[in-house]
Amino acid sequence: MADAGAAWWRALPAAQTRVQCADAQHIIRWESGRLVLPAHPDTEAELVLATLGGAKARCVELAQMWARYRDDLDVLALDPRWPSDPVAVSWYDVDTFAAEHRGTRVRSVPMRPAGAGSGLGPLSRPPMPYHSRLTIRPSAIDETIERIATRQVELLSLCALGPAFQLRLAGTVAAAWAGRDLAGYRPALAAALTGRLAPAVAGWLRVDPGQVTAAPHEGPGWGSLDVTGTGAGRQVRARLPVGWLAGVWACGLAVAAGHLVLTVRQVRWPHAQVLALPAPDAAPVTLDLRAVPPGTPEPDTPGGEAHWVRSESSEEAGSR
Amino acid sequence: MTGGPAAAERAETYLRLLAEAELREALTPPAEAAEPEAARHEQAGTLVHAGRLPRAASALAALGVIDPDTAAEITEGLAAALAVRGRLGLDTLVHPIRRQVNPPRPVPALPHGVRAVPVGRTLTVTGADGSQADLYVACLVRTEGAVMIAVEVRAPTERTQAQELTLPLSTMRITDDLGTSYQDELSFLSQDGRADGWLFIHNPPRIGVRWLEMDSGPGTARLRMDPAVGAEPAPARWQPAGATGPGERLLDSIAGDLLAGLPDRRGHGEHLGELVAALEAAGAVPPGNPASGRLATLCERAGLGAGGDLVARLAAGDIARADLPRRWISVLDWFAHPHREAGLRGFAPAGLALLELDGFWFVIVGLTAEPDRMGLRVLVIGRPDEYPWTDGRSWAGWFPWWVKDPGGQWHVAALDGRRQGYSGHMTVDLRLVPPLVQPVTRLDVHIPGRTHQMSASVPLEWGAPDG
Repeated sequence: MADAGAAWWRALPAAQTRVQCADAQHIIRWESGRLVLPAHPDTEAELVLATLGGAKARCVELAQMWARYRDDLDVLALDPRWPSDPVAVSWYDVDTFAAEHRGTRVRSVPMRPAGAGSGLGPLSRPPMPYHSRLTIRPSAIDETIERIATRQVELLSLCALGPAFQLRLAGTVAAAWAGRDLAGYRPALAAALTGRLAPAVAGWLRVDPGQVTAAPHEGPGWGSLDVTGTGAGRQVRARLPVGWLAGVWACGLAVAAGHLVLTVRQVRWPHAQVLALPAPDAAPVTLDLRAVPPGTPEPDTPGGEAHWVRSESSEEAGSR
Repeated sequence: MTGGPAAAERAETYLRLLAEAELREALTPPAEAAEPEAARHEQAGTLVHAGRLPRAASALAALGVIDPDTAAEITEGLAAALAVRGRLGLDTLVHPIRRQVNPPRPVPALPHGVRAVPVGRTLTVTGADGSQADLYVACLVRTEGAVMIAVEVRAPTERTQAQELTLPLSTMRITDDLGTSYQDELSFLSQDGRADGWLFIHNPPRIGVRWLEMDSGPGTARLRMDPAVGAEPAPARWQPAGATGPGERLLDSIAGDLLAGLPDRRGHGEHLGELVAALEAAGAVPPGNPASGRLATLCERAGLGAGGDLVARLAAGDIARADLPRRWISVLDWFAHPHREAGLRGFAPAGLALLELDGFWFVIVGLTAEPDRMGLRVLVIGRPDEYPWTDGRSWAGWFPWWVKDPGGQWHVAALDGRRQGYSGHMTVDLRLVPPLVQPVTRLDVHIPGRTHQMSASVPLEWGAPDG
């Protein structure tokens, strides 16, 4: 699959949001499959200082969380199933939950003022003591509580980045699983595929989404799609590669121009060439698509995603 | 896991897809105006705590088809997905914390050399204030780590309700023939203010002790028991459980519970069709299995209003009618005809009633008869892994029991209460339905098991002869 590897994200535009980082609002940007922290150009140096007792900036913590959860299937269990799926966690929610269920409130303080340049450089003020969220406490029970609560705070924090980042993290996780040995994880991946394919197919074929199931396809090719029954009893059984969630679904390509998209063959935003099914019993065809941007995204309102239409020059071509 | 990794994967897939369906349905806006937040939270809370998913998860976990932690994680995952969508409070995310910091207690190793000694005598015990109570001693059970004496505190004379029946433990003494006193090793375990319970000797007498003597001080009455001459395991007959798997045994167990509800005309099986569908979809019972047909046929015939959705599948031809087992018909027929009220009252200790099955010791303490209820009191040593979210179904593999009286009438003995004891000991009360109408000296008890069914003939002694 052309879309299941490192470049699955090529059909996605950049996205950005703002987070409160100590007493400043910092931009966090996603572009070309990675997070960028313009206000923290030398995060490695900040991390070194943090290990020496300095404070860790929330932006940097979020980048670390992003990296830690890049193949965590719980992300797919929480994050949106369809573009307007209302996963809505605020930073107030995150801080309140952290304060109630963890030993200490999340502290985040920037190591230096934004835009101070790269390198260690002089600090504008002494580092504040970092109250680790993993405060060591004697009992194993406390450690268990801390471990679980920390994980939940981190997952909530990643949700709080907003819908555009939720989709991109889901794509990142799915891409990480493309091509892996799925033994032991097929049920979770079947749920991840079903939860996202069902609403798309329901709109495409006008079937009850409860009648749509999907399982991971682990062989060559795009997989299979079988439709049985009629009327309210119509059932759809699909097998799709896990990479479909990254290269197709997370990029908003699940259904485009009345077709169910199976794989992305070539892509360079805002253009994509895909292999797609015009109907369940038809052979896949090659489609050229063009993304219609929702408008210039504003920081903090990154929810609008592009939708895809057929390119004016596109002609359906039968393909296998 | 019962059924192996493939069955576990199939069951997990079923539950995860069910969770997806529940999430999607919860997020589907109703046609009418938007619901208030409280209503949405209530609806989502029902989905997570009492909906299709927790019901199916608890059944599959209890059957051992899926790891209980995995089943719980899936339900918690649905709760988390609803919480981040504002359908539940975020505090619902603490459920995994509660579960992981309160794991089920490990199952203790099954003790060897369990012995049971029927006693069936009464001792008048005197408290420090001179008050007296009768202590009925039903039997003595000895394991490697403890001696347990089944007792019941009875008033020597009629008392008012305000007068509490208590065991004067401070004055009670147990000594052996070697002169060792166990007074400091005694504890009495009862629950909910019940008069019956277990007297424990935590540091059991040495091997070779010929007798134990119980009294409540110098000059008071004494009762002597012989801990060495215990009953051997009761002569039991074994029969292979046949091709039935755990799913089918669960359905038969539910059928037994339904029959036990006949006296109260209560059916507690409003989701039986859904349960059968879940077991079929998860591969825990094969489609067209006779247990589903038996349960559906019973629901239709018993007229309890239970399993309406299952009866509908029967009517639609989706499930085939099945012949009911003779013992079920025996119970149904009993209730189809008028019977005189059971006149039995009291307690009949059981002798020679020590049974071992699937890693459990079952000690039938005796049969209790009250005006509105008759039942077997059983000590269970060893227990299945029990998780709070399996809804008590962990025991479905070994209950209900079936009891045949000398007249040929079958009785179902269904779980009616469980009282936790020390280190894996548990007292269970089994309600006998229909009740015995006259004293019998022997009952044939049939116990289901994983691979075998066991049956044994259990003697009863009515009248509780005093020593």
